[in-house]
Amino acid sequence: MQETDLSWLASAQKGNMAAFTQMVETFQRPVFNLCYRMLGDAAEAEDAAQETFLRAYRSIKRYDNSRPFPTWLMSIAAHYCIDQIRKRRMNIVPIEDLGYMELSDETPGPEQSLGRSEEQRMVHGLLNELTPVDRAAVVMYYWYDFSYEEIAEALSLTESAVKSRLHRARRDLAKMIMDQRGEVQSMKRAAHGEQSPAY
Amino acid sequence: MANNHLLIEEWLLSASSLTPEEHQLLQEHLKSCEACRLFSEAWQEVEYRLKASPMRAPEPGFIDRWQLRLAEDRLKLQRRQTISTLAFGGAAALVLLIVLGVWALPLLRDPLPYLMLWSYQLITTFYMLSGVGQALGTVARTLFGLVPGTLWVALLVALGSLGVIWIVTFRKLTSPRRVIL
Repeated sequence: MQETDLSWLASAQKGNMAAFTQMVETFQRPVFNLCYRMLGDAAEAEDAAQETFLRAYRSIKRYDNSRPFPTWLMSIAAHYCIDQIRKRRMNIVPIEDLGYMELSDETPGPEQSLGRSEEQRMVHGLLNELTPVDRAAVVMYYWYDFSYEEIAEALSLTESAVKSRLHRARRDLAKMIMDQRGEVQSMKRAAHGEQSPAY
Repeated sequence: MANNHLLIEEWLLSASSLTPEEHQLLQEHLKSCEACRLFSEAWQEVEYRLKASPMRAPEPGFIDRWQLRLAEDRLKLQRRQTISTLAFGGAAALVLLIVLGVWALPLLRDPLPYLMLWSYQLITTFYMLSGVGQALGTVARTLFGLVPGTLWVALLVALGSLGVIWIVTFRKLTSPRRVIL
């Protein structure tokens, strides 16, 4: 964090509302992105990001200055999103639907181009197949360049647990791509009237 | 080595860099093993997708919406506090009423002895207060007789001056410029 951010943080801890608003301004994008990658839907991500900042605001006075602020904030966001995903799953949504829920990206701007939208959809499809904690670890590792130690701190895990979760997640993601490619090959064969080797 | 797919998978997914020897072994294995090569390609695609995916930003006006939500949250909290205070006050009043009811039950059954007792206490208090009043009057009359009139005036002036000095000092000490928080 920069010097100015630290001074805003110190000021926010003393109850300065303008300083906290400045912190929201600074961290809105990373917090929103984490929520978006976790939940896969812009509206839900907006709600989660706002809830994250509300929770941070309520407990800013109890924030331990020895911890890095971004890690603390991301920890709040990740735990909230994990809870939301678990609640969503408790509502007995078929697991197959989760990967493809709310995949349309209606945000205006350059990101709405077809190729990018398709790419986003594929990334969501991949991430949504992971468990919520594994997903959080992957997002923190690839989008935020968090170290194993920082991820462990944010997700209340040990470093070795983070390493093993990331390894498992990478393997699962690679296998998903292999499966997708296999399906595409089968579809191509079927389209050309060929029989699957299994038959 | 040739059939150690798990080790190859470990190397492919490992975030740490391999030694030159390990790298060579990996490349040799990938040339000869189709399953591991497919896995390697799949993992490369995953990594590319994850790294190429940009950081998403919220819709413009996020801070305004957050401030609105904060205001709503505070309002909710205030409402909750008001409701809980009212509920607590209501519960306390109810408990008090029940206690009073239990205490007043014998009085309602047979009020005469209680009324007589209260009347007696009222009359006794009245007589005691009138006695105190008479004693104070006697003391005041005696004092007025003993102290001359000019001394009374001097005493009143002195007390008035002290009062003015006290008010001025108090205002100066508590003025905002002097108060350091």
